[in-house]
This record gives sequence, C-alpha cells and structure tokens, in this order.
Amino acid sequence: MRISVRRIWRRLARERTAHIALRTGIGLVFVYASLDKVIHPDQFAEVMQDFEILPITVVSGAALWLAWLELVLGILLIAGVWVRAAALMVTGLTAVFIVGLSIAFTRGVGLHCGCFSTNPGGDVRTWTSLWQEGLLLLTCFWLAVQAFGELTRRKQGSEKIETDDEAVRA
Amino acid sequence: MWKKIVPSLVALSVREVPRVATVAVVSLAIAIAANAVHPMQLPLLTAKGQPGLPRWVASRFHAVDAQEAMRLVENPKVMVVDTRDTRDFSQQHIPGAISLPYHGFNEHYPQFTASVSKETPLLLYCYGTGCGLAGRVAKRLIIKGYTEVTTLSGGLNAWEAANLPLETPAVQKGQ
Repeated sequence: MRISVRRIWRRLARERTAHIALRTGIGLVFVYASLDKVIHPDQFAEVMQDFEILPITVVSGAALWLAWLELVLGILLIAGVWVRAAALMVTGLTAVFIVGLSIAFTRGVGLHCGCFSTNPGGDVRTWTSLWQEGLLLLTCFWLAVQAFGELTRRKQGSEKIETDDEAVRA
Repeated sequence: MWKKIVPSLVALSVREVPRVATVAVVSLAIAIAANAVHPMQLPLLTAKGQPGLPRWVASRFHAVDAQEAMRLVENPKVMVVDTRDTRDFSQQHIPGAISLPYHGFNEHYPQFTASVSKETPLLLYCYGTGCGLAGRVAKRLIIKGYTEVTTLSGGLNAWEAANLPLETPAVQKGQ
C-alpha cells in the first residue's frame, strides 16, 4: 500500500513540474509583452486605435487597463497564485486578440500587433502570421485544462491517499 | 476528448468568476493609479481628439487649415514635415517638405534631429481628415523638445482640395 501512495505522489510531482514550467513560461511571455505597454501606454493606445474596433472614447483607458492586466496576469502565473483564474483570463485575452486581428485583416487594415513592442516601425501582421497567436492560444488553453485537471487530480489523489491510509490503519 | 474537456472547463470556470473579476478590478485600479504618476497622464476617456494623446501635449500644438498652412509654407523659417510613409512621400508632397514617417519614426528621427533644430517652427501633415499620423508625430517631437509644432487640418487631401501646389520628384515627372 505504501508503494502505491509513493507512486501517486511521484506522478503528482512529475505532473506538477510540467505544469509549473508551462505556467511560468506563459507568465514570462505576458510579463515581457506588457512591459513596453506599461512604459509607453500612449503608444499602445495608438496601436489599439489602429485596430479600429473600440470606440475612440475608450481606447486610451482600455490600453492602460490591458497593459496592467497583462502584467498582473503574468505575475500571478509565475507566482502560482490564482492560476486557474489567470489561465482562463490569458486564454480569453489571446482569443479576443486573435478575433481583433482577424476583424482588422478582413477590413484590409494593415497593422502592427503591438504584441511585444509599441514601436510603429515593427513587423506588419498578416493572415499568415496568425499561427503565432494561434500557438499561444493553444498553449494558454492547455494551461487552463492542466490547471483545472490538477485541481480534479488533487481532489482525487487526496481521496485516494485517505483511502490508502485507512487501509494501512485497518 | 474535447467533448468532455470543454463543458467541464466551462462548468469549473464559473467558480472562478469572483477571482477573474477581482483580477480585472485590481488591474484597473493599478492602471489608474500608475497613470496618475506617469509622465504621459492619459485621459481615461477621450471625448474628442486622439487616443494616446496626453492633454499637456495636445495643448502645445494646434491645427491650421490649408490656406494658413500655405502662408506657413511660404515662410522660409518653417520646416514642412511629411509624416506619411516614405513611398507616398516620394510620389508627391508639399513643396520643400522633408520626410519623417510615423511608421519608422525611431529609425528616421536621428537624421531629422541632426538637421532640424528644436526651435525650428514645424508644419506637420499626413494623408487626410481621419489620419492621425501628424498628431502622433507631433506628440513625439514635443516630447523630444520641439517647441513650435503645427499640424495641417485635413492633411494632404485638404491641401489638394484647396488647389495648392504639390511637388513631384524629378523621376516621377520624367515618367
């Protein structure tokens, strides 16, 4: 019975390592992506205006908020705090970003994504470069699945351990 | 697999709504606090004008119509600056204008500032009414210390509509 408990613990530890690596990686991406936006919120507002999706009235406020939201989410993921909520939010943000890019492309608007830099001289995004955002979305979604899966496993694992302990005691 | 994962993820996500809302509200509060001490101090809501344009910068330049712009162009002290893409500049521009494109500002600025002093009166223009490139470049130049910045309201479209002269490079003329 003890071997079985150890096996469960090892498996949990293995999965936790992969999960920690995944959330830290995505967290670092979001922190890095937010830094230039936090430093230059005015230039990020210009990038957001170029998407031509939000009303001009709210663009500056939305740019300020999004820059800090990305930073906060990145820090939460790295620190391992509220990971499920953060994973959901980064998945949602990335999905919204992809929809925004697609709408802009459909309208024929050529734009710089403002992903990691607010420099207007950066690379112009196209339909063919969407795979990068798609890859990030898949990774974020997988993190969310992992985060909720870990919760379920932890519950099942603790129930199993309790059952094993009861069996040992018996 | 996905038929199981997605519905259970949605069901579990509902539990996270309070935390999601907390993260959103805290981020907004931090953003507002940080903006209050940031040198740019953006207006959260832009009633009119351009997003990303701080009030203190907006108050330091003004827009003129095409006729007033023509008077400025005739003044030899005034430097006319084309903020459109270099390809459009090379096709035609306002006589005497130099190119400082918004897309590529960081790359072109060192050359610009080496030849134009910060006290030089500047007239900036871009494509048309909805084009905010002149305002964006005006903001960057004011932040970098240029003191006399004016933009052409309505851009090159207004200039053309007023039947004012345009300069077409020799290569284009020869074609």
